[in-house]
Amino acid sequence: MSQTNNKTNGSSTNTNNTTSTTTTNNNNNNNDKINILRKYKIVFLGDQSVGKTSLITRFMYDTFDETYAATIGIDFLSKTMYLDDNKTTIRLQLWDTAGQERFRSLIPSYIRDSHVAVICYDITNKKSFNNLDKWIKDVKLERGDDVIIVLVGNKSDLSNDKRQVTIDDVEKLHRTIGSKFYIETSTKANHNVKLLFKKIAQSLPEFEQQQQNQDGENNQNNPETIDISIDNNPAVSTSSSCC
Amino acid sequence: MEFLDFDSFNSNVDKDDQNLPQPQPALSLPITSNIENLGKRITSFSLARNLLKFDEPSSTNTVNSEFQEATKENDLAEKYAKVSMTLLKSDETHDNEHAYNSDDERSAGLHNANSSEVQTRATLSTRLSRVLNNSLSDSLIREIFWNLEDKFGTGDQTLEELIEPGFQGSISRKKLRGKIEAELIKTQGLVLKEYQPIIKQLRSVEDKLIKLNELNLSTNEKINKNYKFSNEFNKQVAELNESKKLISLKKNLLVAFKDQFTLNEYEEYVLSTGDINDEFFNVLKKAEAINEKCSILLSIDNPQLGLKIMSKSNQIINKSLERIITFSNRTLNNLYALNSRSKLIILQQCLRYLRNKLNYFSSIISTFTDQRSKLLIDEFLNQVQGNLDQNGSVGSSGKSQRSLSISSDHSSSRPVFISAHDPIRYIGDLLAYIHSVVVNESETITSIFTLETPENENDVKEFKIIIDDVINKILKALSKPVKTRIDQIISSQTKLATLYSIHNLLELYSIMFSKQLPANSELLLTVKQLVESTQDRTKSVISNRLATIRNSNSARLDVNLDLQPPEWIVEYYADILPIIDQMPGETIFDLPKQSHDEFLKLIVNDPIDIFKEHIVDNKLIEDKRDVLIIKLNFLDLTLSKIMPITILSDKTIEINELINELVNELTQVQLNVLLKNCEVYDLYNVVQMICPLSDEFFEVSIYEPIKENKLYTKEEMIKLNEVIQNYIPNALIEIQQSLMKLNSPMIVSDIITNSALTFINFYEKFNLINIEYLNEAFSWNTIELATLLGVEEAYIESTRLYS
Repeated sequence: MSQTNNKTNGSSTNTNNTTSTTTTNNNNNNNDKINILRKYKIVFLGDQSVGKTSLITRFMYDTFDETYAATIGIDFLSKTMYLDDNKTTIRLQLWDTAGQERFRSLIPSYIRDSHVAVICYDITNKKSFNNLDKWIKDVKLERGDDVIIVLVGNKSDLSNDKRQVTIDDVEKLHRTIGSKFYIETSTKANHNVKLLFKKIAQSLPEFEQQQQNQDGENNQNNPETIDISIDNNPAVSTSSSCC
Repeated sequence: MEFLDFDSFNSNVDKDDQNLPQPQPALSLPITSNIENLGKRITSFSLARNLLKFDEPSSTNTVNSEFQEATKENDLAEKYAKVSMTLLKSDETHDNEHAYNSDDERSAGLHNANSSEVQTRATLSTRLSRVLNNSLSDSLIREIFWNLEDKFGTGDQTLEELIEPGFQGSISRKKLRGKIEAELIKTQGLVLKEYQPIIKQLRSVEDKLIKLNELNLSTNEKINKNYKFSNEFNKQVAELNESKKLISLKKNLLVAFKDQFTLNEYEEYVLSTGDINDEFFNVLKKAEAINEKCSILLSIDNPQLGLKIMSKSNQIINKSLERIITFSNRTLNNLYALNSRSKLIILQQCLRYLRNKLNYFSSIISTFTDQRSKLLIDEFLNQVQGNLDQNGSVGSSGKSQRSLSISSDHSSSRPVFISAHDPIRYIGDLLAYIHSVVVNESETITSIFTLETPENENDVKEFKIIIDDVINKILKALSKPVKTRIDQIISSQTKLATLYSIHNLLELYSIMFSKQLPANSELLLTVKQLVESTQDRTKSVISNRLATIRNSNSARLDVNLDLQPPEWIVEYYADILPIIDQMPGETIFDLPKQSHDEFLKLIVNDPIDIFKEHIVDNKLIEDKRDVLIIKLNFLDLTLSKIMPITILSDKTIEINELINELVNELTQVQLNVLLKNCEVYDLYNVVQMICPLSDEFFEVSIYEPIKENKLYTKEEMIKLNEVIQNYIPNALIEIQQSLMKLNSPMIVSDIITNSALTFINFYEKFNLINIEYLNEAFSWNTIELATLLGVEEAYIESTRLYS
């Protein structure tokens, strides 16, 4: 219990970053003001050492630490994201959970009021993938369907040599559980990390609503325009309901 | 050509003027010279210059002196002008007179011949006398006469005719005279004709001069008048200049005073009703500076002004202060307002200003923290109690919604109270919720109180402290309800495992909270207190349980003749030891040494004491061996339970010592049984009394006193030998049977071995004593005895060690 975790030192200092950015977008209407205050709780789940903390660290500070230090309890970090050409601002509250079994009992309390559950596995560790069921069960038990589930296969930089979980495996699981999307990332190689968070932000209800409004407006203005943009990344797939 | 003296003509005109000079003999025409003089004088007449001088106003003295000079020159000019005018008049008069005289001569004619002749003669004589009497130079007289001679020489008159006394002579002379006069007149006429344009010019000049004079007079008058006026004016100007200087000095003083000590209307407006912005604070700064500077005014003789200004500035400052306080309170009351960065900056400016006014600052912070605390408590209560009146939605009131949207959105999540049936989950949810509130509140407060435009490092540090303070104060409100709720659960818990889980949960959260909150945070301290509460509760549960066992009849009944440890100790350790086993620290709950020792006593020693009490109270077990066996069984169980747990290693040693004591005791009991059954108990005691056999040193002679014992006879020894031979072959079975209820085979073995070895030792030494003093030996040697007692190996080992 008395162990300390070096990885979590940043948690107390992140607020400066967030506060300075949240107040910059004050030139818009009331919706934007609400957006500034809007906070989304994202809980990171998954077995021990799949790379939950390094995923958050890469996103927050764009760094990667080779040395492993287990997370004690639950860590908190937050970051403001600007979407849609800085018109939309959201605050992501990232709750980094410990993968160790002894902290397992804490986690449901954090899933309880989360908007997004990012369930991570290690693509080089089949067991971590198999255990996704347990995590998904926990999420469903707490939130039912009122949650965005994202499947993240980390350590994609090792995919050539040590891959144990195929894209097909996760695709199958994705279809079964009805997750929002799945993605393979590499925090070490900084691959798809930003995309993951961007997609998470885009999956949030507020953004979707805004998109719908915009689409409505666009359709009114350009009724014959069809969005045909294609994401070329083969590792990223979205469900039919994804934006 | 000579002319009559100018002055000679004047003599006729100004007869009254006796001072006029007499006609001079020199026939020089004064006109030229007079004109020249006049011209010269006119050139020196600097009227224009004087006039110009009058135009230049200067100092009074200069003006006066110039004025006097000008007056002098004016006088001079006037004099010359008069002389000139007189000359012109006299010339005119002279011409007129001359003409008149000529006319007189002609008109008088014959009528006044005599009188005129007489007059002529007189005139002539006078003139001649004048001519002759005048001190003319000879050359001049000769020239005159030479000219006259020419006249005579050329004309038809002769000198003789002229000098003829008769009528003819007279006519000739008259002719000559007439001739000369005509010539003279002609000449003078010519000469005068030459002067005609000059005269004309002079006349025109006269007009001009008259005008000039008039102008001069009027100018002089004006000048005088102006001079007087300007003199007065200059005085006035000088006075006014003086007063102007004074006034401007006063003005400058007043302006400076105004700048330093007063606020203008606009500034007052800004402070009293204007918007709170940078300008407002600049003006406020000025107002405060005025207030400070008033101390200077207070130090002067009349402090009224200072007091007045001070009071006014104080009034304005106080009003501004009130406005700042109102603004701060209002803005902090509605955090939506802080979406605007400019408003946030203004709020921070307000707070920075109020920072030096501690009471106001504290009041604002207190209001804000109270309000936030209230919202948090409401939200907390909704979470833990639910708010079913509002259609099951948590915190849907307007104010709460506002707060929720700022802190976090719990509206869509299941409230905490739903998990109340499971204490660990409930506390976990509660603490997770508090964790969310802590981070949200920390973020909100940090965003409000982190200076956007810090002036210096000190500002940042100060506001960091303020942030910690505000967060602490706001979250402090949650401490009590959280403590109450969790304390309630803790105090109602009797399951040690649950309590331990709660303890772990609380301890983990105290670590997690310490990452977000300062060490002195009330909430963090509360969680730590709750950790202690759990420890206390655990201790209390254990104590209660032991107290229950102590007084429990069933527990007492557990102590029976089967000599087995009671059931309660098995259950007790089954409950408590897994918890202790999970503890990662060196002490229980990482408690200090003393508390840890107390806890260990509770876990290990107290049950032993209770058990001992139960044995003492038990009437069934009175045999010492049984008591020892049941105690040994109990301790053996305890030891087996606590031995794997590192944290209880101290107690393992202690229990081991206790077991050893009991084993020794039981060994002694067993030895006594052996001795008694072999009927050597008394002799053993005698030998022991002479010299204990346990000593390594043994000498048969030491035991000589044994001979004095009445029982120590050869017959007795033969008898004893028989008894031993009868008993020993069955002794092992008997001993084993008696120790059958002792659970630990090792202890049984130890007891048998030790008692047997002690017996063999006694047997051997007693045999030697017998051989010495009774010459009688036992039948069996020690090896045989050891074999029969089942300790052959141990005996051989011990002899080897001794040897």
